[in-house]
Amino acid sequence: MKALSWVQELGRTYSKRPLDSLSDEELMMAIHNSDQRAFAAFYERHKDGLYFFLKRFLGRADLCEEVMQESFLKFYETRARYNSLMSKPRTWLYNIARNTAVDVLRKRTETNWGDVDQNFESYDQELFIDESLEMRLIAKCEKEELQLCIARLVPNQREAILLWMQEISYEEMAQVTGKSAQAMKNLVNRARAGLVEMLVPNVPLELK
Amino acid sequence: MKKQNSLKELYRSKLDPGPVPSELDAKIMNQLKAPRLKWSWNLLGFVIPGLALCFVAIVYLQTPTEVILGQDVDLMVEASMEISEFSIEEHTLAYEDFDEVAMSEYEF
Repeated sequence: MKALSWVQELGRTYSKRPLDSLSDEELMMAIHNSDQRAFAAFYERHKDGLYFFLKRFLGRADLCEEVMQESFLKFYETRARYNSLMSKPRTWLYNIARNTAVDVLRKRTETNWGDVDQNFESYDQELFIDESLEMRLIAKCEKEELQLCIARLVPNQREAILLWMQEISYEEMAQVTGKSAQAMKNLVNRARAGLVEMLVPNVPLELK
Repeated sequence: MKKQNSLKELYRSKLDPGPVPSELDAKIMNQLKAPRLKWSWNLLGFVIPGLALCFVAIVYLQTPTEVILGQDVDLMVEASMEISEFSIEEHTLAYEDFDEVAMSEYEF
C-alpha cells in the first residue's frame, strides 16, 4: 500500500479532533495545506499575545493594527517556507511581526533605530535584580505610569522585556530577534533594572 | 521560577491593551479569503499591458495618416482636385503622367 503523505496523515488525525485541541505544530501542518479553518484557530490562539506585544512595542494603536494585519497575512502567504526544524510556529509568527514592526518604525518615525539589531553579548554580565522590590513596585504603580516607563526603554530592551512577559524562552526570543539567547537575557535584565530605576522615585518611601 | 511567573503575570495585567478590536479580526479574515495581488500578477496585469499600449502609441504616431486610414495618396489628391472643380485637362497639366483609366473610375 502506498504510504500516505504527512498531510493526509494529519487530515486523518485532526478531522476527528476539534481544531482547538490541536497543537501549534499540527495546526501549522494544516495551514501549510491551505486550511483556513486551521489558520483561524491559530489566529484565535495567538492574537491576544501578539496584540499585546505590538501595542506596547509600537505604542500606537494604528501602527499596531497595521502591523498585526500585515504579520498574520505574511504568515499565511509564506506558509510554504515554514520549517518546523528551525522554529516553532509561534516563534516564526513573532519573528515576522517583529521584523515588520521594526521596518514600519524605521520608515515612519524619527526615532533612532540604528542600534536595534546590535548584539548585546557584552552588555553586562549578571545584573542583580531585587525581584521582591520589583514586584512591589509593579503592583503599586499606576498602569499609565508603567506603560510610560515601558515606552521610555530603548527599542531592543523594550522588545526583549515584552517577549519575556509572554512566557517566551530566551532561545525562542533569540530566534525572533536574530540575537543570541545570552544577549536576550542581558537585554531583559537591563530592561527590568531600568524599569525599577524609573519607578523607584515615584513610589512611597516605605517601599524602598 | 514561580515568583518570576507571577511577576510576568503582574506585568501583563498592568500592560494589558484590552481585547483585539473585532474590526481587525474581520479585516484579517476577509483578506485571507480574498488574497492580495502578488507582484507577479501586478507585473502581468499592469506593467505588460502598459508597455504594450506604449508600443501601439509609438507605432501609431510614426505611421502616416493615409496608411492608418487605408487610403491611396494619389486618389486622395485627385479627389481633392475634383472638389476644386479642376477639368480633366487641368488634371493632365498638373500630372504629366496622368492615368486616364484611373480617373475614369471617378466618374467626373
